[in-house]
Amino acid sequence: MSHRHDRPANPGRRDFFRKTVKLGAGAAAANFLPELGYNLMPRALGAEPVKVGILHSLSGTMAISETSLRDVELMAIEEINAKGGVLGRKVEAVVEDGASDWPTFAEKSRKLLQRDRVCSVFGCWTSASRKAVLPVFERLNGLLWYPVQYEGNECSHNVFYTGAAPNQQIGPAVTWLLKNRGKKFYLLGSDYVFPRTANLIIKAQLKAEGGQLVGEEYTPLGHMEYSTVVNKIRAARPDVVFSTINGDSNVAFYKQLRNAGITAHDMAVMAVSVAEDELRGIGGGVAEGHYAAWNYFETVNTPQNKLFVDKFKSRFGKNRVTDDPIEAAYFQVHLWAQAVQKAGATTVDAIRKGALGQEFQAPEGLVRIDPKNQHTWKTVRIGQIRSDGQFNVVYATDSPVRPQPWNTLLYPDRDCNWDLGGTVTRKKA
Amino acid sequence: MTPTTFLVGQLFNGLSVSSILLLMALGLAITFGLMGVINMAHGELMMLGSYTAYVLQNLFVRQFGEQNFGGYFLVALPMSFVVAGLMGLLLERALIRHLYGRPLETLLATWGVSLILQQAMRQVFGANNVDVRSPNWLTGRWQPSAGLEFPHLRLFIIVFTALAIAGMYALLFRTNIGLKIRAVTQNRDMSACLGVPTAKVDAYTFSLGSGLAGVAGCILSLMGSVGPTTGQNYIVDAFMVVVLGGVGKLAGAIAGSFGIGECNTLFESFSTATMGKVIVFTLVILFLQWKPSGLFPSKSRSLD
Amino acid sequence: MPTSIIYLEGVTVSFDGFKALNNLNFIMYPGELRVVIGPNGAGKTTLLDVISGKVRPSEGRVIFGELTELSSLAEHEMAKLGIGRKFQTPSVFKHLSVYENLELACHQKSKGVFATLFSKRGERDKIFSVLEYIGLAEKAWHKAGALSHGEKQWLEIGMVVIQDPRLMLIDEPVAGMTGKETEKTGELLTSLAGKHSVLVIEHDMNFVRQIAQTITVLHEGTVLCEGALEKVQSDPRVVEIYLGREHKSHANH
Repeated sequence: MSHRHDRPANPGRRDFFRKTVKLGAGAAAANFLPELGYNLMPRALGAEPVKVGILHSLSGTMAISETSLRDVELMAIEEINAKGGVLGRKVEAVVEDGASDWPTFAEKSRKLLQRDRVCSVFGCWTSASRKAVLPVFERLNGLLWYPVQYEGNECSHNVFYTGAAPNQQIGPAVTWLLKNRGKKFYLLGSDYVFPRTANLIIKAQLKAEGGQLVGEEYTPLGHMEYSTVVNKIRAARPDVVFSTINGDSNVAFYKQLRNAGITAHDMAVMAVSVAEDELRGIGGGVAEGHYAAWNYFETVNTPQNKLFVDKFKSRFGKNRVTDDPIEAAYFQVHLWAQAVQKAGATTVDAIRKGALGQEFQAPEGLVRIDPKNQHTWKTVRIGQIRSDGQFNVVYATDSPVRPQPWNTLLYPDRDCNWDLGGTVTRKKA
Repeated sequence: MTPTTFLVGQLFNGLSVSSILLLMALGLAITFGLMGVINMAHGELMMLGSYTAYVLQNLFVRQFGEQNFGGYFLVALPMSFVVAGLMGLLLERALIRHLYGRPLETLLATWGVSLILQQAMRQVFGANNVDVRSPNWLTGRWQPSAGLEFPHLRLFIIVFTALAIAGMYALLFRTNIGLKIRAVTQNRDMSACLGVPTAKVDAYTFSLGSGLAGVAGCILSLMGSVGPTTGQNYIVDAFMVVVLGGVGKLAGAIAGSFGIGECNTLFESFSTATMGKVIVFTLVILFLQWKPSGLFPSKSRSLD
Repeated sequence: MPTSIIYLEGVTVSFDGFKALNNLNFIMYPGELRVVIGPNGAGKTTLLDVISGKVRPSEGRVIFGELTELSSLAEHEMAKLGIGRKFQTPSVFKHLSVYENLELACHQKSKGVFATLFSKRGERDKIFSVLEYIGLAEKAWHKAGALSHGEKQWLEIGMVVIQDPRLMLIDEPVAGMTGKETEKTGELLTSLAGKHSVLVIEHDMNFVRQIAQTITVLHEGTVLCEGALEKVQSDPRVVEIYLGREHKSHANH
């Protein structure tokens, strides 16, 4: 979901002033203290704790989304410590605030790696923040665990990608729509890099699988007036609108679409940026019947998810909802703990080796770290929006899908394979 | 859908967009246009109106049930005016009156106010957007012919804006307080000398502009998002309308919003939403190069 | 002795050490038409500023009517009290109509919203009678900005008249007027005296001669002499300051 709230590099004038404070019933002091880089865990007597970093935006525009990731990452660390920690040592989190500002992300990651000497960092949301910290992690040989789906085209030895690659979200959604809703696609996105990249992939796939493109439109970030777009869509008569609209604009789009009398029955909207958290602001009633593609929904029916959702709500408040990035942030900490346990050491190289092929029964089902490209095998799901703002899962793959950082249609000759040294170019057949 | 129905639909959309722009800019045409206060918190006053609608909606749902909550909107309209108007009154008395004639300080201070209001809403309602639903009587559509559908909500906004404008004209040009507002905004010293309580008139005027912002926010909550940063989505457009129209003239704001609204919709029809916006902004800039004081130039106190 | 309409006792106004008024004593009685003359910088306008509350004296007392101490009141409260002022440069609301200008001035007398609502009719009559009086009835709906210089002056006098003030302060009413306009203005002011107390500041000695009953000569912030026209004209000190030193002044009679 790197794009869900992706903003241009200069995120706007007020970001530095904004500290998001969530007022959920369960918002304990732990919610506030980490913003100061506070060490949460008391030192276990005898053994030196294992230090990890948490680096998300706790202030600024991105705080809306990223604060929840910090919350569940700390929750997972607590679970691990409750079972005795890793290698018999407690896990200690150093929390830093990236402040929705990409240079700050780079600076804080340098601090975490050099001063705090953490063996892994859980962090980032936007692709822009990931791109900003990437050189730091590669130069200082750190490990970043990145829990948000993104546009792909990346292959770093210093990152574990636990969100979806494009083939684990966009690709299956297009295929499903072609089979179930019709061939005529209208592509609608916010005007920045993710939607344009995603639409390149979709167009290639439509060509390959027999779909038809009837329109493509981009609206500025924060766009609030969709009457003309709706009129154009009405004129183009698509079966499906594939939406990569981001942020507040989603609210305006769904409300005005519904207002113009277009329901999901006439024409389906498939979104890859609308999850449970966003739906709270849109109103389930307005978007009812439309679709979203993710790996996880709060309604996913697994025993692990039931436990996870119960724990999340009792801890952070009944009104809070879980969604895909929150779930990935949660399970990646457990994957990390298993990796350390297997490695028997806390050096970066040992953890990386221990993580390859690691499996975990996550709320979304079984997840597995791909031993070659360091992305994660995940189940792909399509949910239909209910009036209560939750999803009915209408489609799920039988088993986890192998991640492909390079889209096979756009880059047929490229692959990410660390057995062969990273990004490789295949010989053409 | 034939090209003709598409075009007629677009003309209607243009009218609708224009009236929405006008509604956003109306309060600002008073506070910035007439009084010369560069109020960066205008968007946040709109946001207060949106949250007023949200609170009343929840109250009505609790009181009358899910089926009959729609009446909330009729209460929300005047209440949003009152809430934002009172906030405006407080703002003027506590802050802005000390800064008349100092645009830079006003800009900074009201920017600070906008941040405080955003954070306050975040504390009370949370950082996420909240859901404001249209009452049932505004969710329908009018179909004059096949392929043409005019949403009741958009028709309502057009009519409401027209009434609001008529009301503003009546207030400014047919009442005693309107005369005083015009007098004070033209020449404060002379008005004081004539015995007009200028401080009071300033407070009322600012409060009126703020209240109008609140009403705009209340109505726009049915079209767009409602969250702590909602106001930021509207403020640039609102200032653009007032500046293009010519600071200090209500007629300017009307002409400005219709110019921008129809042009934007027209350009967007033949290009994309992004390009439409780019073209409109370019035209506005070029126009202001040619006529720096806008469509309806007028002198106002602060800019003399 | 009747009660004075305005009484200044030992009033001093200093701006950065410069004393615009220096221990000034001044008294005027109801119904009087008083002309204040004096060379530039004598403190004439400052005198009006003090009376109308625009400037606070640094020393001394200003008493209006029956012992109302003015120094504690705000400007618009003074207007309510019954002091009307016409400024030196014509100041009317250019973007308002002639009628609206008068309407605005007229409102200050009525107190509440309801009083205003119910007296709309009476107000209209009153405004039109003043319009007749100042000769602008034909131009009631013109924008004030479009009036000639003289007409603006009359409008402004009208705006003071309509407030029905007990004391009218009028600063250089005939500056820039033609001879005919000046004469008409003189008649206007003379007819006002009696009903109102009128305090006029003027340079134009022809005009002063036309209207003056009592003249006060200010010099360097204090009263130099006071009395009827003949008395003032024959006072050697007045001759001295006007003829001796102030040749540049356009009031050099």
